[in-house]
Amino acid sequence: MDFSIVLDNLPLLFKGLGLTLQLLIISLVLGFILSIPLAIMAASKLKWARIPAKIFIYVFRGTPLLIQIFIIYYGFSQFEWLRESPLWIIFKEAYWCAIIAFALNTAAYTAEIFRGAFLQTPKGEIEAAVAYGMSRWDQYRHIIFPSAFRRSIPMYGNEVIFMLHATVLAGVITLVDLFGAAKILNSRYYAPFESFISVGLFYLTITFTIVFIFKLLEGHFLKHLKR
Amino acid sequence: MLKIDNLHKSFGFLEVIKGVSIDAAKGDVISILGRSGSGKSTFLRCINFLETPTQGTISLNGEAITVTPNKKGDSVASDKAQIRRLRTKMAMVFQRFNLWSHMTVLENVTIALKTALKLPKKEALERAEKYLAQVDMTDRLDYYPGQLSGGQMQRVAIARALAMEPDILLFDEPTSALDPELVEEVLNVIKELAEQGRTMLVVTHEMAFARDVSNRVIFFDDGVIVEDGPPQEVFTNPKSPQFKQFISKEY
Repeated sequence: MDFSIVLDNLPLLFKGLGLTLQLLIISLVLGFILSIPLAIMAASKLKWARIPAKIFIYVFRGTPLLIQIFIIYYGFSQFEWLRESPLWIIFKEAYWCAIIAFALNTAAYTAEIFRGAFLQTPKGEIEAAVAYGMSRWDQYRHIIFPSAFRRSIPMYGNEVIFMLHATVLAGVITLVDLFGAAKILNSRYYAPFESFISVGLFYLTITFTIVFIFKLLEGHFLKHLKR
Repeated sequence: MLKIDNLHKSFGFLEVIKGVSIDAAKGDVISILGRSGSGKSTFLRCINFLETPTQGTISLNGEAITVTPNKKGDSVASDKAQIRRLRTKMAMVFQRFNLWSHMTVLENVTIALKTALKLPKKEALERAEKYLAQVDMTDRLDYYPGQLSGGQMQRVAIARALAMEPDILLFDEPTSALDPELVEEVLNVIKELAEQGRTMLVVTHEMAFARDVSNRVIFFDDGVIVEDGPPQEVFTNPKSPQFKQFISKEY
């Protein structure tokens, strides 16, 4: 066992860490933005809004993320019209394909979290908003959204951790994220234990940080549920 | 002030309100009594269109709520701006308080002032503090509803209603969800409001309140009004056998 190879290659690992965090943050932000209209549509009473959202959620939650990445990265390049379109700048890059797949995937899971939270809004609270003359928009803005987002924080924290761990799949499509860096180390020195233990520690540290951040958020935003 | 004319409400084939008319003048404190299932809560909820009446007109200060029939045949309030404006003039206090759980006491009272009444922040705050003081909740401004007792929550809900400075207050069984020892503190607040000359419609089971505080008692039975008059009269000399039976059970 020789951990000096890890220390000698720390720059490689930190570069991998940078990419992992980048992939995680960008896809979480995009996925979050996308999840809100999706959740509203999925919770809607209107069929034409609900059904497409439900299908999207069903497909992305119903298939493995690795397959989604392969379809986007390897599958799409098979279409000549795509290769000739301006979109190719995006789809030829493993980086963007990973982000697209991650973002769509987390959007589906997050939408499902929010949808549940919207539907859990106490009926009486909406009724009071109506009775006090609030417009539809005010009801969403001041009652339904804030109360649903707060309720979603613990579940969303889990989703962020799942997403972090899912980013290893970027390493599968040629990207050198943390996992990609570990693979390089391993292939260079044939030291699987040292390589994967060390990136494992990186993931642990990030996970703990995420848990800590969400504890703070819960403490701040879920005060009203404490007695 | 509030005029309700020939109100009907059906749920499917079940007609729960079968033609009710009430004329409330300024300063009236009207208690609405009735067995559970007699339609009295539904009636109150039809007034501000939380339930859509099947038929009938409701007007406040001579302004009738504009309605159009929907697919089910109920009459839906069709002028959204109008119904929102009129709702702010008929503030409701609910049986289960219906405070917004993620907002503090102060926010619960200010939010509708800022959104529905479009009051500037400062004015909303002043009003909220004024009415929270009136219900004696000044020392709980930063509490969340979940941290309060039922009686305190209902007092906040009453402050929320008062802060709208409405023409009429609609109380939907305001003490029914409270523990017995908390009923009094809420009733006292409502009693005070009556003494101040506020116009109120109170759906209640509190017979003593109906008798001592209101100036008019209405008794619902099976979706119609069977007794209507000043409390001295209806309690001592009820005209309908249903009300006679109802009060004989209570005492």
